[in-house]
Amino acid sequence: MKARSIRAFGLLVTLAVLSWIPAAGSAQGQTPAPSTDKLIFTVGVTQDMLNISPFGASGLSDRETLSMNYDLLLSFDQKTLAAAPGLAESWTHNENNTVWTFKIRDGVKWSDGVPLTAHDIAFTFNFILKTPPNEYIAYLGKETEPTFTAPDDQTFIWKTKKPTLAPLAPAGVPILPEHIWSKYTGDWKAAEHFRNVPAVGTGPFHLVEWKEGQYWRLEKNPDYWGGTPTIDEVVFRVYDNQEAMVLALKTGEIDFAEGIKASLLPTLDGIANVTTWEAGSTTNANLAFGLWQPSLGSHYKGFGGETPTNNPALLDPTVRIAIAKAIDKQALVDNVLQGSGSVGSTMLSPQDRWFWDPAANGDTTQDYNPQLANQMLDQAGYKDTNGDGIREDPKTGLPLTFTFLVLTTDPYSSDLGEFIKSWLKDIGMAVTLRPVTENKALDLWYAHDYDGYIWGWSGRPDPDFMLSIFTTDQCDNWSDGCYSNPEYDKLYLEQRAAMTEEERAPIVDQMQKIVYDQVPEVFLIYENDLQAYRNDRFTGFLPSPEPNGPLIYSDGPWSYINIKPLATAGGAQAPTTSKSSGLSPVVWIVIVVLILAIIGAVMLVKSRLSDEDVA
Amino acid sequence: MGAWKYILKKFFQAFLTLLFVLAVNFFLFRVLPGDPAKSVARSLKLSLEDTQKLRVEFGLDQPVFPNQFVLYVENTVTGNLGTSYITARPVSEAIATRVWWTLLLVGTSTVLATGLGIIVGIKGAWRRGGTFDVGSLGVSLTLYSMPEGWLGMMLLTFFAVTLHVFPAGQAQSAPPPAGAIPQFVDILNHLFLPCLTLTLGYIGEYSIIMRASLLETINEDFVGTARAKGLLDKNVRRHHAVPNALLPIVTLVVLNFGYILGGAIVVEYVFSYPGLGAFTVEAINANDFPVIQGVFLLTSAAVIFANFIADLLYVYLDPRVREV
Repeated sequence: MKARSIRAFGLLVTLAVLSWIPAAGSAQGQTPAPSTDKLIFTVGVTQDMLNISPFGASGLSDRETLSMNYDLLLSFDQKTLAAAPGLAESWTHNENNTVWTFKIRDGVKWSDGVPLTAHDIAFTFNFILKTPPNEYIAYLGKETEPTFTAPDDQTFIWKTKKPTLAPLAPAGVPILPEHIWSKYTGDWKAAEHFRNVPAVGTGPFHLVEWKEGQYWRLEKNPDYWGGTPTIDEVVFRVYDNQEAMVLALKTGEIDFAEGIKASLLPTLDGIANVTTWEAGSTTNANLAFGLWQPSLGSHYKGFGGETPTNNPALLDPTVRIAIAKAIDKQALVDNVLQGSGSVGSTMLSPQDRWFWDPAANGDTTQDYNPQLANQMLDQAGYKDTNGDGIREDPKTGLPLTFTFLVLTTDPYSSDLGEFIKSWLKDIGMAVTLRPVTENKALDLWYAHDYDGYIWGWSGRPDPDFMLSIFTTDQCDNWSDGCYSNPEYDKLYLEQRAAMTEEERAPIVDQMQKIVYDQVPEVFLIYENDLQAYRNDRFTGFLPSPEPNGPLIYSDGPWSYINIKPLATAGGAQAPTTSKSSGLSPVVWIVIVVLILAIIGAVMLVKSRLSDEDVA
Repeated sequence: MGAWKYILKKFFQAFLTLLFVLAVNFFLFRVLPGDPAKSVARSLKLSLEDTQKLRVEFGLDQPVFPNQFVLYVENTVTGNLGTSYITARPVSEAIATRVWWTLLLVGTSTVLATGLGIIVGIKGAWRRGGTFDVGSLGVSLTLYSMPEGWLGMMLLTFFAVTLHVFPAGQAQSAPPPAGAIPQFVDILNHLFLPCLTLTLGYIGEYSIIMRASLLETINEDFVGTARAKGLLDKNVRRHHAVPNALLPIVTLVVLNFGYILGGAIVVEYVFSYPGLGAFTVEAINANDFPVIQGVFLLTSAAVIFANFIADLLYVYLDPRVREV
């Protein structure tokens, strides 16, 4: 009798407390106490920062933080990405474009209180010249032999021996504080290893905390010359996979999700408090052809680069043009990107203000037309002489069989390859796809041991870099396939020496046209940058460039400066609450006590029972 | 004296294994294709001469043997595991920030799964064929065969999104709340779902093995003798059968503790838990030799050490070992 009543009592207690837990738990989930009254904007990302020293390995997240923490000499215009006042409020140049004089803003302070002067700017540019290797040298136009001086606190002078438009690109060089960085001059390794947290800068936010693999945090600069941000802090949270990040957006743990894959967008449709944003980006996917010839020489002796293994048929532009005509780029956008992107054409993206649009200019060289492709190949003598469905090269008798590398580390490479392979079969070419890791691909690339590969590029606001990859000089460095065209090389130098942007534009157009017509590479698709945000929290996101550039992870911190919380019934508190969930401490204690009580009761009951048990 | 000789022998074996692992660790990664300097150069868009400078900095222009290898051994012995090619931060620092989360998650799950698994296994085996046995065996097998990733996603979606009771991944709030108790509770809340996933996944393994081991032991002569002597059923179980049946479990548990450092890659990935698992996968993809080497060395050392501890435990648990 005793045992039964003990068990009954235990059961009653259990039921009573259990019924309380869901109530306590769900209440906890809806009204947690915010630990501070700060306005915090939380962004979910899938890429952690790698190294926040400007001289370290710079991934997308590093660049975003640098653009919030530091200012540029001349900023990007939010709408067009042309040069706009930055730390320099105005500038002049001489007739020859060899002396550029900048008037530097007064009253700007570093986040540690030290005033900013033109000396910091001169220091930064000289530091970059003296401390290779680094990616900023490309902005300075080394061949123009620049010198950088600051005759007084408010004047900065960029002088060159040859004419240059480099300052107007604008030069994307983060301006660094001399009093912090001067000790690293000439020592790239030390500059790269400098942790830079907290980061001293003049930008609208400064980096105060970084927990690798988890999150990093920036606080606002209340005295920012470009306007005080409304929000107090920006927190970037790192997610290993996008599904969890999207879930966190739905539960409200993050306010913004950056870099979502196309297949997840439909899961966000129809959710009232989430808005998706498909931003045009400069990221493209391309099929590059191996065009190396022994006459070009090789920088990497011993890698086997002296004996080309690329199919010589690809050196004939007719073959390449035919391949481009056989590829249905729209179908690639629809099937591989699920419609989230646009058809590729030149090496610059439609977002770019320097973009030359073949369609608008009546150039149909790469329009999808497999019948025309077949015709061209027939007329040029590429016939299938032995009936195996594959055309042969009349010059060498070799069949048009190609090996294209597809990158296993790239999300779209192998899908794109499969489509291309089947289309090229229809015009009499046999393609073998070879999956390789990025590192293996680089090895094969240096050895010129491929016919083509499917990879991609991400551009910069100034077109110079993307134009340079088709110059002869860049063979074995940035050239995808060692394309060599003396006329193109000449134009490249001309656009670098142009005296005004108006003079430069037609040259840049012409260069794009040459690449579009000669097809050293087929630019297949431009990818969109997919973003999503809670529309019941903040408002005032600014796309850059307009009209459909990304809202954040663009070329400047405009959105972060501009966003404000939406007024809600609960007041401005809304954006900071409900970001954390979980059971409160009280509930946990109750659960633990309960478990112990149950265990204790069970053991008590058992020992009493077995006492009565006779062996 | 026999016991000490045994321990010493086991210690030397462990030490030699560690040295062997050190060498294999190094050469194995040098055999993989790929030049890390080139992938770093590509992301920074460096010029040719600067790429060459990088190779020199990474020490890749030196011959692998003996120069690079000797340098590696020297550094490892002094605790310098090198710097990451990708982030330029010390490998030991990168591992240190992550290893505690892995230990927390996988350690807690292993303890819970072991404890509960053993209890369930014992109960099932003792009344073999009974309702509890049949039921628990079925549940154990089902849980054991479930893919962790799927189970994790299901729990995440249900508890975090549908019920909104637990956070949707991560190890703590960003930024964490102020104060020791709120921080502790915050970590506990974030730990709950991934720990639950792993525990459910591991429980099956332990309960099945414990059950099988105990069933075998029950049939031994000495158990029959104990019963014949008139001992209470629970005492036969507690003092005679189970201690002998536990030996294989000890090996299993200690070995699993060694593998803890490998991290539960899939669960860490699903919940974005910042442990060693997902981090190692990224490093492998990027051919970040120093990081991969560091993690593999740590995992191997942990397994070797755990094995050694198991050997020591046997000296205590199994008197037969001492006589050797």
